[in-house]
Amino acid sequence: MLKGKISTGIPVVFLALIAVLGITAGALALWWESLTIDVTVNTGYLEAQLSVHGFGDNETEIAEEMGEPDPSVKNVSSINCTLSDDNKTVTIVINNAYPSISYWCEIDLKNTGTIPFKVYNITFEGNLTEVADKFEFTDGTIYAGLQLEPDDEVIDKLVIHLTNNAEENVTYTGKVTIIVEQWNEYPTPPPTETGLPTSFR
Amino acid sequence: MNKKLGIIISIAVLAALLGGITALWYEELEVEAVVDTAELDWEFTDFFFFDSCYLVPGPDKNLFDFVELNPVTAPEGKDVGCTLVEEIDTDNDGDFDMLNVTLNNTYPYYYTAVNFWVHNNGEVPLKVWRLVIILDNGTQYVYTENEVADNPIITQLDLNNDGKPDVFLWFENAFGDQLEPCQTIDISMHITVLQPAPQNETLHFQLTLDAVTWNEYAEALSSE
Repeated sequence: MLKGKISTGIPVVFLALIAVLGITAGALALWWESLTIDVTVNTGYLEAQLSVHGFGDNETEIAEEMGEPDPSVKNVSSINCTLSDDNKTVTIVINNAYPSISYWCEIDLKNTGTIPFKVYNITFEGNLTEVADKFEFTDGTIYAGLQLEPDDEVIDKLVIHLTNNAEENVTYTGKVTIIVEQWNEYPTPPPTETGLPTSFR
Repeated sequence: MNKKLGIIISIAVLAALLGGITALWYEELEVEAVVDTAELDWEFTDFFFFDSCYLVPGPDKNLFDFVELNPVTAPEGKDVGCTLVEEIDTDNDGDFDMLNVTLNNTYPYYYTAVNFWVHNNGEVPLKVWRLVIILDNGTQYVYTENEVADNPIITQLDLNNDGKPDVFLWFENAFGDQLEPCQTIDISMHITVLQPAPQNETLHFQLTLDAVTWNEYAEALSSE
């Protein structure tokens, strides 16, 4: 009777299915226990900000040195340094400028982030560089390689001094860019928008 | 009269026979089965990790060489980030079943390592079966001996879904390691923050380490 049933085919498939189900259930139900490792990574942030501590020129001093009775009358040009709302940009405007006068803006660079940074580089661009024999930080406190810990700050004097190559009644523009980067990767070039930094080894 | 006597005698004989049957000697034998199952149980017992937030400040470690897994002391010995690890008993059964690892104020290439001990506090031998990495977006990566053989698990995880890896993970392969009851082994895990990690954010992922009874390890592998 049993032999006859097995030989029909359908019961064999049925029995095989039961066997497979049994094996699968065994596998799924096997005893196991989990241990969990929960990882949280709180990243810090790198941030630098600028501020302006003062600005001026030396027209009056030169006038005094030259014996002008009223040096104040020689104060014909002016400089103004203003800070953007995000504290990332200082705009310097010099009006009625002329050669051989030093215009200066005292700029504060501060680490407002949570990790140290180093100044990767400082670049000076624009046609102002062609007519100025000084367009630079003169106190030597802001320089490539400078490192600032969080909350540390330094002040340097950015001086602009025009040569006689400057033409009259012309607007010259210049731009100073300070790039800072995390201290542990200096002097690796900072990352670009197109991919990982070259330091990604 | 004789007929009545015969009936009475017959009834008496029948009653005697029936009494003999119901009073016959007998005895039952029984087999009682009691199955006292064991418990498969393991727990975290101890751990060691780099750059603790609580201990004496020390220089961070940075990892630039991902091939040799060769961390170096952070340039200039700076102490910026730090690591915290704590054990948690999530189900209040007396076992530490979770390790909370927190890296604070980290930055690209910040490196830390956690060495932890797992202990078979159950009653049957177990084998380390698989590691499941679970990201907050639901993505899961399952690793067993089938995937990595004898090699460590080395992967980079995108934890903020921007398509770029944020964390480098190196996890020691303990797959197939067997722990007898009361036996302990240690496993190490190395984490490095990568350059594309977002600033000033909290990144999170979870790992579960699963063990099975030693005799079903092969079956567990084949059931994947």
